[in-house]
Amino acid sequence: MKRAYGVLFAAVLACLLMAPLRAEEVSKRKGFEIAITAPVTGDFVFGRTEITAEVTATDPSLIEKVEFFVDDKLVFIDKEPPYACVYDFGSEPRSYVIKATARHKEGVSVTATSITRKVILNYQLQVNRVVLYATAQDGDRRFVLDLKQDDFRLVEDDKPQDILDFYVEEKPVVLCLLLDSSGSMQGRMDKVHLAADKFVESLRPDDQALVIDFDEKVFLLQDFTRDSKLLKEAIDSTAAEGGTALYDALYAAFRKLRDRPGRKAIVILSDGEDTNSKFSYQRVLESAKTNEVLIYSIGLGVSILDVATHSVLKTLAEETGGRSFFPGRAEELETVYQQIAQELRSQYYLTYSPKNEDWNGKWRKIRLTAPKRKDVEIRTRRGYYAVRRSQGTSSGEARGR
Amino acid sequence: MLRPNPPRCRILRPLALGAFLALGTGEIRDSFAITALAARNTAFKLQSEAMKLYKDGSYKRAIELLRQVTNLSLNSFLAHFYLGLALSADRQYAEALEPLKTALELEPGHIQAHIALGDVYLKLGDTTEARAEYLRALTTQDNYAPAHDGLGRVYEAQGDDDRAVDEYQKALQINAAFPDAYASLGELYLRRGRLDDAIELFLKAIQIKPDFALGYSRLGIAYSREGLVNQAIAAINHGKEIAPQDPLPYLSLGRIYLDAENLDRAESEIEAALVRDPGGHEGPILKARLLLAHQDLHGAQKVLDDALAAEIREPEGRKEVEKERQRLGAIASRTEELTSTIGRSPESAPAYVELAALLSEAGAADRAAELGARAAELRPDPPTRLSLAYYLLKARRTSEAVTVLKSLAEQGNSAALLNLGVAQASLGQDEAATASYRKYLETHPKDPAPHLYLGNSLLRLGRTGEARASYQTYLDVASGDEKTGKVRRLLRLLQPAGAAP
Repeated sequence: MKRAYGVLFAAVLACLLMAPLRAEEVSKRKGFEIAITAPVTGDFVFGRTEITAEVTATDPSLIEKVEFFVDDKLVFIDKEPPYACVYDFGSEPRSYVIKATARHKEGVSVTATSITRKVILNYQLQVNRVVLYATAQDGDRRFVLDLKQDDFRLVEDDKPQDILDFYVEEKPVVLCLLLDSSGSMQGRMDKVHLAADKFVESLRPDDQALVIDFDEKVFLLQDFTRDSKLLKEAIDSTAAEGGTALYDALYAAFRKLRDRPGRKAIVILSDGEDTNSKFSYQRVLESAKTNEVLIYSIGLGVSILDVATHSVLKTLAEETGGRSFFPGRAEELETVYQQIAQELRSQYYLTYSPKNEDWNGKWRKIRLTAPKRKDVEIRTRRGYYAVRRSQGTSSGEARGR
Repeated sequence: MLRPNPPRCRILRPLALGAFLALGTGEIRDSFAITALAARNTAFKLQSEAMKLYKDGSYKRAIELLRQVTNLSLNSFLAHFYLGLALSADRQYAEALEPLKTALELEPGHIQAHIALGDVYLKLGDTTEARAEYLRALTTQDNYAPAHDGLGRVYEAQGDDDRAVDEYQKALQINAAFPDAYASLGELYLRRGRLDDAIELFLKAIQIKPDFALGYSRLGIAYSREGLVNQAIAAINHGKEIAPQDPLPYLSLGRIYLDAENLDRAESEIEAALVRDPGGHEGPILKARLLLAHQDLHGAQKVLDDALAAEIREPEGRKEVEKERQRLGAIASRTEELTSTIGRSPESAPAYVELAALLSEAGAADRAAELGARAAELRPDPPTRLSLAYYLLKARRTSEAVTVLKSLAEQGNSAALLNLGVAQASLGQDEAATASYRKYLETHPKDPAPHLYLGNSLLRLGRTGEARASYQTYLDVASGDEKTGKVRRLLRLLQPAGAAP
């Protein structure tokens, strides 16, 4: 009886579960294949973006069409290669499921999927205004603080812009001090302690800082504080050991700064190549472009021949309007840190309202110069993503080539 | 850059001990720095302890410790992942997002982290991001049952049941011993009124995982919808024993007792649920229903107001509470208007009729019956008297209802005739009820419900053969509503020995 009940039960379940399934989506069949080449999984998209797909077939003339879907909605049908369409993903960089289905004249189809990523932009909340921090230095690397608003020329994507707010920044800075304590720093930590200690001593009373120590792991030794004594205690406790998780440390610093208002900076000291990070350089660079944080990188003993490390530290600094330093010896650290401290006290604050009102989510290049002062070099961040503040997503619509 | 040389000995300062002890009890404070060595030791120790607490179900304490670890060890995947899991298990969904996202940044493609993040997004009503997470899990492993189960829940939330069923089926084809997918599919069938199918699936889920508390609760709800109240209570109580801190069994029992008008039991279950989940939305809604049943409309509104003023965790839940609050608000303001109308024109029958209907809807059965009686006095037409009979039945004044219904039935009112049967049956007058149903069916042979009611009365009278025939007619004319499964089972039981099923 029990067995009979079991059989009946199994039969009922089989009926419930064995209903025909929808056709499986595959990206590859014999002699017929599709791949989405842009955007690929993990990219973040907004604004009008081209979706491209590559289809290979034994006989390409038998490819009937490629259908493009965004979040299951058919947005475009392309009947000839190269298979592509332009879709407006709006101003919210959220996860989109993009599918491209290639249909063969013999009736089969292949489908490729790409899933974009949600990204939060941590730009300052000024409705439709871009905020810039700029540093001016003359040929002798002295900070120039007598520039007037009219001395500046601001260009966005080759179009001149009007500066709206302008003053020398007096407000405090929020800082993340990142110290590499990997094994390779052995023998130099005392000098690092000394230089970093002097740096925190030179901060202004209202400045806040934290201390992150990283080798292959990343530890917060001191959370944000204005107390330089506490910062120095944390700095002095670091000791050299293990590998280097440079990108993890940077990413952790971005996370710590995310919800902090005002001018933000990361000062990172490292002596070598990242060996242990779980985050990629691309992800860190993306964070540098989506967070308004100045990066000051110090590559201790990193020669120009260490191409990878040199370029990483330099690029991150330049993208954000910060600066990179490559002292050859630990004895030079004190001077480097003092230059950073002085730079943080010598910056201009500017805002402008972009003349290009098409908030399409695209990257826009910024160039700030002082044409009347030929000897002066200006540094600021290199650009921003054009996303309208406090606005919803615009609805998507696809167009062909 | 690794070097083979042994590191310089680290000095553990006295300060580190202070930091260590403080970390055991709270966040990193402004008043001290922690040394590098203490940071490493503390993080490791706290993380191990927290993971053990999480596995034991002590989510709040685990969260406390894991927050300290993630504040200290900034690139620890395990600390962020477990913090996300613990927050999610503690129903702090919005807070769970950040650690899970960080965990996925630290270990891209971690399949369980994708599922956990998808579940959190789904709980927060963000089906787009939830779907993306489950799909990301499938790009890591294309035959992962929890991802298909998650996609099913996303499609169900988006109102696409067919696609949801497809995904649940895929999950079960990949892993026939995956209880969650049985429960998900059962839940969908439960919502669509396929109670027998839902029960089979919940039983299967429980068979696979005997400590599946959710399965027992859902099974109980399915039983209660089939009218099998005792079985429902037994199943839910079993779920309660397995997960005493889970509010779901208490909410389920609260609902069952409310429906059965056992208000004392309902109250104790609802209060227990509210204690276990102050941020939930079902507790306040049930509490408001309970107060309405006690005819306390203002109390019910206040419960919902308080819930809305506090934090309601799930956005969809908040909407439900708002909707219920609006409904009660509308009842309250219309009641006020009608009361003043009656004050100005005490002879206004329509005002009494509408007010009685409103109060009946609000659960004030006694008051509705009084107003219905006054309306019938002022305007003794059949619809008003029929409404009065309905309010009398709701107020359990069945004998009075029978008198009204009899008089209406004698005047040829067929609706009254059917309700007369129901009222007679509830007084134990099954012979009279049988006569009323039969008379009604002479003119409405295709109406399924009276066949069912007739079968019930006949069964109580011991006239099994006639009851069987009535049930069979009911099944022939009914088109698969919730009761058909129950009636089929009943018919199987009533089948004479040796007869073909």
